Amino acid sequence: MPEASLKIHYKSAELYPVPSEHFNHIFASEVNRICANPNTQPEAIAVELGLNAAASVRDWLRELDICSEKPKPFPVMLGLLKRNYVIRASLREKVMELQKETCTDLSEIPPDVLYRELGITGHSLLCLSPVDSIIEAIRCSIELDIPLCGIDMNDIPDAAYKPVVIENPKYLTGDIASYIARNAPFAEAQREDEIDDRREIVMASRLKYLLEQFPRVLFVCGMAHWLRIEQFINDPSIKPARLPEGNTEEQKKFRRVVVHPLIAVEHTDLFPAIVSEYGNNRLPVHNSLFLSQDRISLNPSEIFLKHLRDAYHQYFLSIDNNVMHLSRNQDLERFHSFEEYLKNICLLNNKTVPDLFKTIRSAHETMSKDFTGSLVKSFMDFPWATPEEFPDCELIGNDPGDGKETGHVVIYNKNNLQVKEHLYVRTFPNGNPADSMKIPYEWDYLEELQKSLGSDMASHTWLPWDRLLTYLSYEAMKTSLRKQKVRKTVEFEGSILDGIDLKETLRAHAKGKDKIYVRDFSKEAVMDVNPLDGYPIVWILQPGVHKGADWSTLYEPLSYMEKYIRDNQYANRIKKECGTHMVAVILYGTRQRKSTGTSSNREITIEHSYGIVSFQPICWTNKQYARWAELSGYSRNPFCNLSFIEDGISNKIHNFYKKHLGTGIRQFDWPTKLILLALPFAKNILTVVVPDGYRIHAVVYEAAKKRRVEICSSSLSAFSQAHLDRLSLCYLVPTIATDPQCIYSEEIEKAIGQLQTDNQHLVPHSILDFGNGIP
Amino acid sequence: MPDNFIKINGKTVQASQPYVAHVSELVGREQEMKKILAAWMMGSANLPLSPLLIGDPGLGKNRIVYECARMCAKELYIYQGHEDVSAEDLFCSVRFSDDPEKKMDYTVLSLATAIIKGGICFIDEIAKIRPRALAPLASLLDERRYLDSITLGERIYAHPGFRFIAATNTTDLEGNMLPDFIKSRMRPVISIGYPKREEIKRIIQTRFNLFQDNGTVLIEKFWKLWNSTYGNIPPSPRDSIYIFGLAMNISDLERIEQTLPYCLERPDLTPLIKEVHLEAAFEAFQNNYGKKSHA
Repeated sequence: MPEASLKIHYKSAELYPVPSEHFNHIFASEVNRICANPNTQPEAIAVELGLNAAASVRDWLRELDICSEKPKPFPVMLGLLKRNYVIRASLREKVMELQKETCTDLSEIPPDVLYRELGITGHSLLCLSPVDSIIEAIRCSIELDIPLCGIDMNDIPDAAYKPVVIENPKYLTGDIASYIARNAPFAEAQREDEIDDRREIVMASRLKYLLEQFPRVLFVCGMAHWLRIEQFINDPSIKPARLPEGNTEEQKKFRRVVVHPLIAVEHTDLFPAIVSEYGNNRLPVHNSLFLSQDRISLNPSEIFLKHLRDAYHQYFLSIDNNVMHLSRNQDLERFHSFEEYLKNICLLNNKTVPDLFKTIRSAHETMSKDFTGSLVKSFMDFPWATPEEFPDCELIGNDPGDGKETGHVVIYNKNNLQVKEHLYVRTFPNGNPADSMKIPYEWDYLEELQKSLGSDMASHTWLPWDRLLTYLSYEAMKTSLRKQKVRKTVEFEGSILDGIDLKETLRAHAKGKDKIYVRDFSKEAVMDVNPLDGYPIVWILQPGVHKGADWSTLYEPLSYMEKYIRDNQYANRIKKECGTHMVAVILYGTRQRKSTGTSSNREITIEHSYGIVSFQPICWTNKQYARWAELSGYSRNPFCNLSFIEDGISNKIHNFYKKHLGTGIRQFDWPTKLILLALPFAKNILTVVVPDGYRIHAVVYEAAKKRRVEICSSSLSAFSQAHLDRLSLCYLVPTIATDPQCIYSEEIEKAIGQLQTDNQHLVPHSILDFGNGIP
Repeated sequence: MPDNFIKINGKTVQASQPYVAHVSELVGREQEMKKILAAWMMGSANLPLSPLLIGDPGLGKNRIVYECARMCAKELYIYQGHEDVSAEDLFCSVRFSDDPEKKMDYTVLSLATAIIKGGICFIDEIAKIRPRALAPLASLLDERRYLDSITLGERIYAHPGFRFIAATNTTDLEGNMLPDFIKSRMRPVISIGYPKREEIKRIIQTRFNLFQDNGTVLIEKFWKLWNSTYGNIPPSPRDSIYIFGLAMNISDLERIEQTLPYCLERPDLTPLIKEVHLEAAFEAFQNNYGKKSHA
């Protein structure tokens, strides 16, 4: 870093600006250096944040006790989430039109529509990254106990910041003034006149006011704004503007969140280890013992190489040689290409040390998946802050179902890890990074939590309902298989039976036989069927539009089956590649909750289903599920991690079906969607039970033909209405035990009005005994 | 010897012609181009890599290659892959000579010409070529850097300036069509995704250089039509260009309808697309591609 700081004079006061590249430790370190040096130590600090945002950050940092004499470690990554209230002026007409079209007020338009139609994000996220110069400045203001002023506007509209290539600050020669002079004009290309002009005038006039109040001020802003702000400071027509009073009510609107590592990593300089090293090297600015010029000195390339070596070590020297033998040999041949490619990528991007994204992306494009995984593990190994440590904070993360869509995040419900809220956010102060990518990383903390939720807190279906669904599905399956099994071609003897068999007739004529052949379905009784042949079964109980209806999915977690699975290596691969949860049933319906009145105050959820897909009999033990998964080669059920379609049909799901059926599923009505959801998992037939008169969409037949699956539709009228009524009510209840099968408390039996042993007689033995003969 | 003839170990062979793309400015795709260029850069100890571009049709894979070739100021030789390509088809063919003094003429095709001259060879739709036809590429894409031609009876060593790139549609890779020996040599594998909305807008504006005052309105109209039919499935640049191109043609046709016979080449007409033209073009597009997701 330069020996001398940038300094400008305004009247009799001195301004020490630090125009920064955000989330780059070199600039944070420069702030620290200025604040620690008695010759430059400021009497007030100004930052490019709104007044309320700056105050909120400062309050939180104080509470975290990271700036005291005996500071605690800076937790990474916490964030402040805030609603955006301002849109750019040029969008006015479009907004008006959208409101007219949707007959909805702007504030009520769903965030995905706003994002898609207008590019507006409903929220802003400020990540409290220790390596950001603004956060460092706020930290210094606490340590020095001097005034902190957020001099930017409180609300600013979305801006689309364009990435620019600037000189690497590592190779600074001379002082910061010449570095800024060389690079600020390039950084300026990121500005958006429509938004930034006003902000810069406001910041300059407030800075002038501050400089009238304090003889020495430190100002931290993005490099893109500095030239304009400097110009406005020198412009006498821009008058000093008094800073508004802080508004505690406004400050309360900032939601404190714990940021998922996959979002956090975008704000950790090159990679998370830089943050740790910065934390280890940083010295408090109020400690006069440390006054060296170069207070924080990191060597990112050394840190990078250490992690790269660790990844190589983990990958190439690990003992389990059988697993990745082939890919490892190929990787051994290719890792020079990977390094060369990465080096060239950095060269073209004017970087001396690769960041995490470039490294992972280069590995992804040149090496095997396993190697990339090893790299991710090495670079993402970091003591991330967890919601457990911050119980008052919500957890914000990328949408688990979606691919990497910039800005699309979710807030998790910490109690059951279900998605509570979908949001579109922009990170400020620098907008969403353009170069980020979806990293194949799974956070240990969430995995552990998920496991514990799986065994302790998740609700389970009510076994009598499971048995009823299994029984009815078995009956439907029998009808379909019967139809399929006994279809044959016979010679025409006066009745055309089920229609002329054209192919057979033509073949006969080609051979010179003057005969006509017809199709015949003789109704042979099928006594027993193998569930592997007939599942999945689709139940369309009440087609049509249902207000408030939504999707829900019932899972069999692989963790339940773990101890019964014989080929754990394969199961682990499925877990890694496809997901930890096997989808057992998908329901479309509405749900309501009912208190059980039990001491633990757990609730029963009643799903009123209009449609059901059952992928296998569901009254089984965990062992039988394991056998099913193995016998079906894990190919007859969808797998996922946190959610399948509960949060809407993600691009990943949509693309999966597009690939397997030749059509996506988003555009269809829910019954068609339900059938299409099941189709890729059928073997030869897919049984669809529908009300009389219901016509299955032609797209289903087209897709089925492509997959060589026959759609067998049965009528609901073939089943007893009482059974169908019970079938449409699925109870999700708390359990006492889940292995080998669910056991419920008596209170649950009372609340539902049924015994947990009910309906046992309905299930045929072939289903009850499935897989039991296999050790 | 004419320009398009070259000598290989004493044999005179006819070379292929490079392709010079006459296209408008490329919008976006900076990151993808950097990746390709990074792969092609040759270090002191390392050979250049041979990238494989993967993406849905119409996303501009070829366009990116044209731009990269232009940036490197290298000649670009394109070979279109298809099911009937044989190993020898990739680099040499022989035909009866037009010259009465010669019996046969050798013609080296795109790949061999690029190898000899140090140009860029781009094989489009590589996954459509049968694995055994691709076998000779193995020696070319590793440290050996040569090709054996049976027809020519020669071994051709690659010029140091030779670079290789191939592209394939995502769907063509589904059946694992590319053999391992090619997959392992074709690195990095670069996925070409759908451009953002803003980029589509810039592509349309750059490509057609049109719209006068109603440009924004037309683009908004386009998105409305698109979203109402295809929801969240994004349009490819090719779809967008097709729709606007057709709308422009419909608008032009309206203006020359009075003058018979029609003059089909009318570069002098200033584009005057209206919403109604865009609707008509979109309807035609929809009729061609149906409501299914084509992305």
